[in-house]
Amino acid sequence: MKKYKYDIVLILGIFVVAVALFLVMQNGKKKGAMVIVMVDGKEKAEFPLKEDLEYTIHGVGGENILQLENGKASIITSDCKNQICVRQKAICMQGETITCLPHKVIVEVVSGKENELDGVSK
Amino acid sequence: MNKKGVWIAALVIVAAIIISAAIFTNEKSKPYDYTDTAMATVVKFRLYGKNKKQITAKMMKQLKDLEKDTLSYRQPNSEVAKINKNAGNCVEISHELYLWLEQIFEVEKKSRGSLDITILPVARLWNIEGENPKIPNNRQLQNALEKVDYDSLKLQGNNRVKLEKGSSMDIGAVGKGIACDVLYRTMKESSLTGGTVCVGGSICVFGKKTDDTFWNLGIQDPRANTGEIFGIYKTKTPCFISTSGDYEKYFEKKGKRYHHIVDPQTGYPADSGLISVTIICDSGLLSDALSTACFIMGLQDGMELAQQYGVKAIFVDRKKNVYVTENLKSSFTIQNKEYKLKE
Repeated sequence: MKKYKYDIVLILGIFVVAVALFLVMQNGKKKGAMVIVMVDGKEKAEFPLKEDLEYTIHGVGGENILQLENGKASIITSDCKNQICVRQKAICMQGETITCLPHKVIVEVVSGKENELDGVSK
Repeated sequence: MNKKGVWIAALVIVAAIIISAAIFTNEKSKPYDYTDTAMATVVKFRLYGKNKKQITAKMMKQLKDLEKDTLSYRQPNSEVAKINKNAGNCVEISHELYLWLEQIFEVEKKSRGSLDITILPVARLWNIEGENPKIPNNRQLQNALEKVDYDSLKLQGNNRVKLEKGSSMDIGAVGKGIACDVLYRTMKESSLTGGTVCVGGSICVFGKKTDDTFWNLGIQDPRANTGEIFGIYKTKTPCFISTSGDYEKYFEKKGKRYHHIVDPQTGYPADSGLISVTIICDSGLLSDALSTACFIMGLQDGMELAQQYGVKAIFVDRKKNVYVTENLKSSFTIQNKEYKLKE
């Protein structure tokens, strides 16, 4: 019995390591889609896209209200002059962004469903 | 350990390696998406290949330098600002800018002045991006219009140019296309295997995706939120795409829209019946220049110009009728049924 005990320990050990490695790799995917808020290049906040909430972004020289609803993020109000951020469509896919240039705000979806579009010409 | 144990252990290790490798390669084949700002607009990269982060940093610096040192008339030390400041005198510029100005001049000539980079005196009066844009006084507009003439920028050879006194130039209508040309060169010479770069609304497509599937490029719906598309262009070959539309920058007064694409003939925003023009071709500068020119010229003359250049073009009029060049029929599909493709 002693002869096999070490074999079993070795096999189980390798198996545990393999499973642990697998789970660690999967962990990023389990987190799901997230929305990050950047102001002037610095990350200020992060939310799971599936939550429903409103958040006031304190941008440079002004404020934007970020809304998360039904799995999409959008800027619903802003005190910027051009209102371009408010006119952008709600986002939910990997890499999609909403930008408020005057306030140096970028809202981006990360770890999300891959966007089939590789660019939009406008 | 006995033979059986060794085999089992070996199998488990191999299984673990295969699973990890599969997950790892899957991650590597995903594109790297990056968003930032430069040239007063949003810049987006989607890259495949090695050293994506370093090349991204390099390209962002190139954009900022291009704006500051060469293209922007607002930057005090840029080459364009130098030309404006020295109007009436001969100025030596970089060979690169000289070549770009030569290409721009050709489009200005072929479009009979619909594209005209000396439009700045008129554009300044409209001040579309300012705090309180309003309709300029007509007499002021006509005075400013007298200074607008693409012939007033003389290209004298040996990288020397002379802008007539009283004139001023703004290369903005073509700047993002030029930026795409510069970044395409960088990507091509790098360890990247494929990617798309969007500078404002101008796109450049380079190389291949990891799985060699089509690049899917959306065309902005002129009457929906930014980012909503009305059609998709699919390609596997490198190309440049630019769009000009009446929806990008505008103000409204008494129910009428005043947008930022000024017609150099009238001094007023172009009123050609079009709401957007998209040009797809093998040069960023040309796609940007032609999208502006064709938008101002209207469907008939604009389509003729596009055909003269052999580019792919999409014209959309106020009734959401869509007209495309013959060479686009199989690669462009309309997604929004409100838009109707016309033969």
